[in-house]
Order: sequence, then structure tokens, then C-alpha cells
Amino acid sequence: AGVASCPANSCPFRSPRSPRLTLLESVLLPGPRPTAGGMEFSELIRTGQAQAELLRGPEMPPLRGTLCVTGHHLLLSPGPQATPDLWLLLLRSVDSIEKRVAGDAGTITLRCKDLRVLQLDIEGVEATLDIARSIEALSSLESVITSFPFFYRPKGLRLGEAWHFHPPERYYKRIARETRAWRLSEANEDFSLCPSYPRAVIVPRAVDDDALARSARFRQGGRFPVLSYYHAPRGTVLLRSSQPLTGPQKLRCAEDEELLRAVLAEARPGARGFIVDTRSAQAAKQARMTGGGTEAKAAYPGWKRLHRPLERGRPLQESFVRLMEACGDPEQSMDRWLSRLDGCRWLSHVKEALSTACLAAQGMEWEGACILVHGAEGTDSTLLVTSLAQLILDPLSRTMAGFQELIEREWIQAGHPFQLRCAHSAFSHTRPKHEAPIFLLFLDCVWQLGRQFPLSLEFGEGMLLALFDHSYASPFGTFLCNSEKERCLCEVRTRTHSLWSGLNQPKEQRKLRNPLYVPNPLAIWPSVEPQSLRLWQGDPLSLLLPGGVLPSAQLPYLSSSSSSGLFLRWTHPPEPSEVAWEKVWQIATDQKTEGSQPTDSASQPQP
Amino acid sequence: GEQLLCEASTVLKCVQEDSCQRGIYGRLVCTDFKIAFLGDDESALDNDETQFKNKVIGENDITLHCVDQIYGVFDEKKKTLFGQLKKYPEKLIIHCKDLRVFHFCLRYTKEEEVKRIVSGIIHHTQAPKLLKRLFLFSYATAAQNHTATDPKNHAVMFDTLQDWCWELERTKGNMKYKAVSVNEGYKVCERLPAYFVVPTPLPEEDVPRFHGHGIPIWCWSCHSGCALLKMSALPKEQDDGVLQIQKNFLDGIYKTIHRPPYEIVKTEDLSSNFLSLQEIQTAYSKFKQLFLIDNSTEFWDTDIKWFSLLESSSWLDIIRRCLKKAIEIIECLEAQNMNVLLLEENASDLCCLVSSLVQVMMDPHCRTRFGFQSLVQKEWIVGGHCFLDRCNHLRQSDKEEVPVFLLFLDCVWQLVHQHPPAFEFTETYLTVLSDSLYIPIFSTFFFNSPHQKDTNMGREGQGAQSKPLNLLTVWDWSVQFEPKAQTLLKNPLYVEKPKLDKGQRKGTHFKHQRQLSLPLTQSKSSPKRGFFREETDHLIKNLLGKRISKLINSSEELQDNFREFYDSWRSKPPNYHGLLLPHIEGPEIKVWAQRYLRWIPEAQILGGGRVATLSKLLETMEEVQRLQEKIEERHHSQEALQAEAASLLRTSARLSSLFPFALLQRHSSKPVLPTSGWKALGDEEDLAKREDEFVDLGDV
Repeated sequence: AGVASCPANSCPFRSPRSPRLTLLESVLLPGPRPTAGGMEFSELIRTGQAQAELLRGPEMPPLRGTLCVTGHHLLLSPGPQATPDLWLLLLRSVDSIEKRVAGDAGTITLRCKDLRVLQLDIEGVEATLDIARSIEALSSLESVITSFPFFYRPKGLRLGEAWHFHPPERYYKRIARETRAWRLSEANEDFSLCPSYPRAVIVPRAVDDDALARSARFRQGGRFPVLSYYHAPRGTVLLRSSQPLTGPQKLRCAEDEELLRAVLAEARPGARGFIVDTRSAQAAKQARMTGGGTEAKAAYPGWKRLHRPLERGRPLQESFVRLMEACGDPEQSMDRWLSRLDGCRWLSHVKEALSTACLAAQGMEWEGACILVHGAEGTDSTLLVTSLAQLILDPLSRTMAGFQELIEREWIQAGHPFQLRCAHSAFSHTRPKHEAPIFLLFLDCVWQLGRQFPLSLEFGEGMLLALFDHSYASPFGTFLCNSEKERCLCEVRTRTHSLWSGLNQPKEQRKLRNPLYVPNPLAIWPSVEPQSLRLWQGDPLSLLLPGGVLPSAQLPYLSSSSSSGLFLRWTHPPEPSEVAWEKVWQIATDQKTEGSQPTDSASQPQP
Repeated sequence: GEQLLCEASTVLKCVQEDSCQRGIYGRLVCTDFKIAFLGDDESALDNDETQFKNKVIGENDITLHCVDQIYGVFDEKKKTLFGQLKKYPEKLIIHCKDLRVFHFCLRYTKEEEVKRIVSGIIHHTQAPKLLKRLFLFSYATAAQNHTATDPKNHAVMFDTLQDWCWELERTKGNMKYKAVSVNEGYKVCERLPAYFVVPTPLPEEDVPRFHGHGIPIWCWSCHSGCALLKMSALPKEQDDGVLQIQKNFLDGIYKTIHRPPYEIVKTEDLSSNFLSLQEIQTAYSKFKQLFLIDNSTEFWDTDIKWFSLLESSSWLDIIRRCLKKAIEIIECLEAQNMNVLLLEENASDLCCLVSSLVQVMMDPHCRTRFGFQSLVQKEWIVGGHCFLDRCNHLRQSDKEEVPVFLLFLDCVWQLVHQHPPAFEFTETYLTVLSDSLYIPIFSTFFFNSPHQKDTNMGREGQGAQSKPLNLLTVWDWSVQFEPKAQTLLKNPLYVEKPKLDKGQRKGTHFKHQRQLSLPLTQSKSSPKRGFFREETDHLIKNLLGKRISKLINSSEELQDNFREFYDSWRSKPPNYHGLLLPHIEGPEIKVWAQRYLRWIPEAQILGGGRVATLSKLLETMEEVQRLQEKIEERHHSQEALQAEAASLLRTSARLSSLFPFALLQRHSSKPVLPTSGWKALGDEEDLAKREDEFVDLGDV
């Protein structure tokens, strides 16, 4: 496709501040147009524009203006005098669409992946139906290389920036300073051992690349055990892999056994290890019938197996859908609310994830044991547990840079299939296939940590909200594709911008940081019982800081406007005490303005 | 005046620690004031952790009034203990009203001592008592020489005519209402206080006609001149003649309070269309069971059912309904310019609750500590809430025991939690206030009415004791806490209302604007004749006891008005010195963790929680203050900044989220995991082994 030649100015954000539609059109649809699988986008757009009114929720004023569908966006131009002068929505973030017509007008309800619900009242029945059909077609395009990140060229950012911030090599350098027991292996250079691993992985020094290849053949998807985290204070390690392919015949693999033996031998003489299987013992046994299974005790001396069943896949997605149904209910009466919250079981998933992570962390910190985490594929709940355990133990991963590195290393490079898992959010009418909000569950767990330890995370809730939004639909390339291999094939690194470079701009950082952060060198042990866990919603004393509702002119996608937590952020107006928190923020940073001091003495007039 | 009643030695107090049991040997004593456990090894009990020490009640003390239930363990079986016992238990479990749970193992105690202590404790905590036998009196007699600080320093006591006049003046209600002394010496009615406030034109001779029933009594006036009134219902009568008299009487009353300058009166009948005391009682008794936990296994077991258990108690729903009712009333006062008349049988339970909630939300003065204490004094103590019966201090009737006051505190806590900067006091203040209900050295919560208090204040004392007893008031916090601990009762985030200097004319103007910034839909308040008639009839029907229930004809309209009012308030940034409404959506009503969860070690987060945020904030604010001081050094800033505030918070690096409570737990930095976690590793190992064995068998 002629995508590469698409001019940089095909992006609407370089357009003048008050664009008129004609100008917009000429900017958006000129010359070599982006194509969708050989078909031009324009063929999918049935109606270019219509007059419409947009309702954005209870506390926002409605917007009237000209509605326009482009290849990647829905635009509403309320006219040159209005503020904001242009409203736009990435079509990819539309999760489901409903249309209704009555008389000579129609209504389109858009439910977005970021859990927003938007209503468009459009003049003209034909226009309504056409626009609805266009949105439907364009929002469900599956091709990666025609997606918006490949065309997004924001001002002030350079391509290729920040893509090399967080590869495994960087983490290896950190470990190498502490221990000689591990090495960086490039056995997966061409993704032949394991398509979902990055090119370089960290493995025991004593194990050579051939052994790795054999071990890879014994593990589902080639995901042999690799180092996830080195806990320097105790010299223990956290590993992750996929299930061994023991199958009904109880197959064994000498190299795989050797690999795990080497891990224990390197840690310290007589070290113990625990295999945390994220499935129930029953499920692990059943997996044998389909070629999977779990490590037999006799074959792995020194390793003990623990089963901590975590929900994944469809039940998790359904839990998310039910939670959003409960949250979207306009009349949340008390009695129904609690039983619905209980019924959707979301918080018990949070609890299970956190307590399993605690278990793994506890094993490393208190028992001095090495931990191997795996479930079946090792790309979902496994990553959830390993990344949370690191947040609990490792003060570095609680910094802004460290957290980004953790996401990059433990989720993106570790092969969490974002494209499959985040294809739809909670509102989709289509039957879920591979969708599961496992990354959202991770973010929720981090939010719980942040709520319980309000000073210990350098990033605030804004960061978590931004990550949630971008994991489902983003103008940046970071969460595209399912694995490093696919990203290489699509040249994501060279042709899209990295989310991290977007987020690390100074003016974005203000919204993402926790103003109360104090480095905490200790482990943070969360309380995991249901009395301590909360639904991710606004808490007057949480770290929610107002992000500012106005989008910044250059990077309209980066402004997450809300601070009512995640699940209720569009239905409930932001907490009033944010005004106070704005002040807290002002105090905590040096951007203090006149008259914002909280004490009386501040307002004393100067004599 | 404390007397030892019985004691037992070598009692083992069991403490849960890191999911294993630990015991401390000591003496268990029961006095006429409290049950106390005195450890043999004093140092182990009293270490320096107890910064927030209560001077009256120690960590191992339980006042007799604080005991809720006593259980005995017989051969591993738990049974409620009451009355005469045939067999004595090997373990005593005491559930307290402040939700502490004590385990005392009596296995190593001499048998006769066991008999004596167990029956002693049961007798002294559960047998009905006479008012005169309360510890309060023996304490006051013994502590006669202690000079109590003047209660007026802590709150307006509302026991003089002057106090009421001040309150009228403060709320600018003195134009239409007057304080009367018709009940001086409780001549008219023992239920009412000696002084109270009624509408000015009301003839004073009307008050005694039905012993104070059917008289509209003033609670509070809001800035617009509308007032909140309360009235106790007339007794139900069958006789038509009497009914006619009652009707005429009420007609007369109604005419006086309707005529201008009075606004239209809206009646809120709290005894028929609102909560019942029975509901509150049932809900709380279910709710508290969620927190009275005997051991951690039991605690983890409730995990999966937590939300459904919480919901089935419907305690949170009751809180929500109270808050909602208060907002509805505020809407009438504020937006519709109506007077609101609260009606209840004795006007001493839900009336107190609703009217004080309204005042907390509308009157910023009630959000200061002094104002809040005065409010409790006005609406609850002098207002005649039957604390003695509602707390069941005399153990005379369990039926009467209803935690109405606690419900009020929980409602206020929701507000404090949602709007932290608006209150001068903290949640810790509310928690210790709720604990003080059961400390029988304060007279505040131990009488049913001011009359009862006055008649029992040493009038019977002969000879030497001619002067009235000197009873302590709970508002003197220095009795319970050292000054250092008292800083924890004060909210460091609270910003006082800017004082209006003469030089700050702008400020005055601003204030005025603020008050008017509320949605006043004046047009709606134009008196409609039909509406008035209907309302009168309605009122009279209600008052006469012929309650045609659910006769709220305008309920739909009311709902709309309510929504509109509520939404329009929510859409503005809150003014912490103006009207303050709570969020009442389901997800916004929370469990008051500090009060209910504080003794459960599993629920605490070491080094985390809100406490951490607060202490950090304090630090930052102090720093800002210090910097400002430096800036203003040359102006000689007249204000002494309280930099010492909550130094307690700062000294400890890793505070528990349940700070300042949860001190029973020795601080360990081990994580707390369900018992199915690391501790139960053995079981899982077995499981893994078994499975492997099974596998091996399959191979053969």
C-alpha cells in the first residue's frame, strides 16, 4: 500500500486553530489517501458531513456544529467562534454504535472503549444512517498498518524517539551490576525460538542457547523460563514461562529441568523454588489432555508447585461487562449497587491478583525462594502476577521511568497480545473471542496499591487512566500488535510515535505525576481483603488531580479529562474536592500562583 | 470512687498476631467502672507505641457499659453467657460496643476464681441497674474536689435562657422567634428543656395544654429567614370530643405560624414516612457482626460474602436515606423558601438526627468543633434524646437500644470523608466521640433528658453534700487525652473562614454573594392558596393520628425539585463555608473504616492509607507556612502558626492506615495474606504431592 508516502500533513492537528470544514476536507482527504486492505477509506465514508448536536454526559454542555467522518476520525466543528473550536474522536475508540431514527432526525449513541458514552443528534435520516454505517465500517478495520498511529505526526515529537528507552538490554545492565549468574541471550534474534518473546532475553549463565532451544520446544508457544525480576536484597529471582508440554504421556525435557536447576544453583546453595501456577490444580491436570500440563515434582527437585487460580479470558471479560452495566445504571440505588458490585466479581479478581502477587513477592522477600510463574500460555495472568510482584518489592519500578520500563518489559515486550485482548472494551455487542481486560485488571491493582500507599508511587492516577485509554485506542504505536515479532514486521518502531515520548513531555507529566511522591525504599504490602479494596472511582483524598478538561492544542489525545476514577468517570461528575487538590498540587510543585495559598496569612495585603 | 468487685489471677489474654495465637498472663479484675486486664509483665503491655492513649480507658480496659455480648467457650463450642451459670467456661470472649473483641483464657485460673469473675462480670454488665447506681455518681462524689473546666469553654450548653437568645441572634432568628422560660423548673413538661424557643406570636399559655405536645419548637433559622421547627405529635385519642379539641388547638397553632412574616410551613412526618427505630436497630445489629470477628480464619471466611453481607445489613442504605432526607429538607428551606416542621412522636430521635444533619450541611458554624459540640448539646442533649435508653446503659430493655446517635455520627463521617477541608474536626474525633458514649464519668450521654439530669444532680444529698454534684462533660477532651493526642482531633486541612476585617470590604461583599449564589427559585414560593389548605389538612390529619399514610400528593414534583436542586449544587465548586451537600449515589456511601475496622489487624495497611497522605500534606503545608513566615518576617505576621500540629503524625515513618487506633497489634512489617496463602503452604504441598502420586500411579 502507498501508506509510506502519505504526507505528514494528512493529520488534522496541524490545521489552523479555527478550521472551516472546507479547509479541513482539503487537509484530510488529499492526494494519496490511506487505504484499507486495497480499498480506499473514502469508499467506506458514505456521507462526508451533517449537522449534528453532541451530548457528552451529564456535566458537559452540548456541542452543535458540522459533523464530519474522515478516515480515522469523527470531527465536530462548532464554528469558528466556539471553544473548543474542534471536537474529535478517534474512530478506533468506538466500541459499539446504536442508531435510532425518528421523524427527519436521527440519533447515534456511541459507546467508546474508554467507557465514555456519547450521543449524536443528527439532522436527516439518510445522513444518520450513512454516518452510522461509515463509523461502523471504519471503526472495525483490522489492518494494523493503515491504523492511525501510522499517520499521526504530532508537533514537537520526532519519530523513533523513546522507542529504545526500555528494551531488555537496559534491564540486563541493571542486573549485571548485581550478579554474574545471568546472561543476555540473543538466541531469539529471529523470533524462531519464541514468536512472542523479544529478541533478547535474560537466562541463567550456565545454560547455553541450544538448551534454550530445546526448552522452548517443551514449552507452549516456545515461552521457556526467563528472568523477569532480580530481587537484589535477597538475591532471589522471579521467572516466567508458559506451561510445559508434558501432555498425557508425561513427557519430560532434560534441558528444561536443567534450566530450572541452574536457577536454584545460581541463587545460593540449597535454595528452594516455588512454581506459582495461575490455574487450579484441577485445570492444570486437565490441560494435560490437550498437550499441556505442569511440572512433575520428581523431575524438578527443589521446586514446589502452588496453585493460585486466577480468572482470565471470557469470565474476566464478562465480569468487566457486568461491572460497566452496573456503573452505567443512572439510578444507582444503594441496595442494588452493592449486590451488583458483588455479582460482577470484579473486585474479587482484583483481590486474587493482588494476593497472588503478594504470595510471589513474599516468597522472594521472606522465604528467600526463587519463583517461577506460569499459567497456560504465560501471556496474561502470568504477566499480571510478575509485574505486580515487582511493584510491591522494587522501589525503582514505582518511579515514573521505572513504571514505564516495567510496562514495556513485562507487558509489551513480554508478548501480551494487546491487539487481541483490547479489540473491544465493555460495550461491544459482538461475541468476545480473545478479548479480556487483563491489562485493565493490572492497572486497577496498581491503582489499589496507589490508594493504599498514596506516597509511594511517583505516578498518579492520571498515568493509569492514560494507559487504559491508550491500550484500547491510541494514536501512538506502543500498544499496537500482539508481540515484538509482529511489531517488527509492521515497522511500528520506525513509523509510529511511542506513547512514552508523548507522555514524557513536561506539560503531560504534570497530569501524570503524583505530587505527594516520596521515595519509599521498602516493600509495600497491600491489604488484600475486600474491606480494603475499592472500586476504582473518585476518592476525595485520592491522588486524583484534575487533568484540565481542555485538550492541549498539539496533542489532543493526551488529555484525559476526568478524575472520577475509571469506572464512573463519565457518569459521575468529578469530585468537588478537586479544587482543593488543585491547590495541593500547586503547593507541592513550584508552580505556585498568587493567592492560591491555603492559609489566611497568605492573603494579608501588603502594607 | 472505683471499687474492686472481683478479680481472678493467671488469666491468659489471647492476642492474634501474624495468624498465630499469643498469650499474656495477667489479672482480670472487675470493678464498678470497668473490666480490666492487668498484665503481669507491665512493660509488654505499656510500650511507647501508645501515643494516642486514652487517659481514662486503657488498651485493656472495658467499661461495664461498653460490653455488648459475653460468650463462653465450652469444649470448643461458643455460647452466649447470661444469667446464672451451671458450668463455667474455659474461655471468655467479650464483644464490646466499640467493636473490640477480647479473649480471656481461664484454663489456668483457679476454679473458684473463675466462678467469681465470670458470674461477677455477667452480673455487673447485664443485670438491670438503677440510675442512681451508675458509676457516674460515685465518681462525681469522689472526684468532687477536682475542678472541672467550665463547660462553656467547649460548647454552648443551652441550659440558660441566655444561650438560646445567643443562638437566635447568631442565626438571625430573633425577629420571628422568642426564647421562653415557661418550663422553668420543668413545671410544664419533663420531656422538654427548661428553656426553648417558639414562634413569637405563640401564646405562652398554649404550651402546657398538651404538656408541650403540638407546640412547634424552633431548631434553627437559615440565612433566608426560613426556620426548621420540630413538634412532638399529640397523643392519639379515640374520643371524638377530644379529637375536636385537638383539631381546634392545632388549627390555632397553625394559624399563628402561617401568618406573615412566617413562610409556608411544610410538614415532614418522620414517624410514618421515614425510617423506623426498629429498622435502625436491626440493621446495626446485623452490620456490627461483620466487624466482631473472633479469629482471622473467620475473617477470611467472610471475604467472598463481604458485599452481600454488607448489603443485607442495609446500614449503608439507612445512612443514605438519612442524608437524602436532610437534602430534601434543605431544598425546601433553601430553594423553596419554606419553613419545615419535623414531626415525630416525641421529637427526640429522628428529629434530632435530621435537624442536626440539616444544620451540619447548611451552617458552617456546625462544622467547627465548638459549633458541632454546641449542636449536639442543643439538638441531642437538651433536645431530649433518650441516651440512657437508646444506649441501654441501665440494661433495662434491649428493645429500646437503638444507635440513633451513632447513625448521626456515621452520616457526619460520610460528609467529613467526602469534604475533608470543610470540617474543623477529624474522623478520629468522631470515633472517640462515639466511644465516649460508654464512658460513665461524663454526664453528657447518661441521661434521658435535662430534667432527669437536674433532678438527679445531688438534690437528695444531705448535709455536707448540699452543693450539686460536679459532673464532667465529654466536651472537655483534656480529661481523656493529653494535649499532644488532642491535636489528632483537629483537622489540619481545615481552613477557617476568613475573618471579615473592616479593611476588607471586598470580603463582605463576597460573602453576601456566596450566600445568594445558591439556586433560590423565589418564584416557586409564592403562596398558593390551594396548596396551603391541602397542607393544613394534611398536617392536622397527621397530627391527629389518623394517618392516611402515603398521602404525599406532591411527591413526584418533590422528586424533581430535589434532583434539580441537588444537581445544580453539584455542578458548582463547593464552598466549604457555605452549603455543603453529601454525594448520595450508591458507590459514594462508604464504610467508616476507622471506627469499624480499627481492631482488625488484617485490614490495616502499614505505611499507607489516607493517614500517609495527610501527614505528607501537613508536612508540605508547614513548609509553605515556614516559607511564608520568612517572606512576611518584616511585617511581623501576627498569627502564631501552629507548626506543632500533628507532630505525632510526622514522627512515625510507617503509620498504620488505621492510625491512631489498632495499637493492640504489635507492628510487624509482614504482609497479611489469607490463611490460604503462604502460611498454609503445608496443605498445598500435600496437595501437590498427592497429585504427583496420582500421576505416578497413572504411569504404572
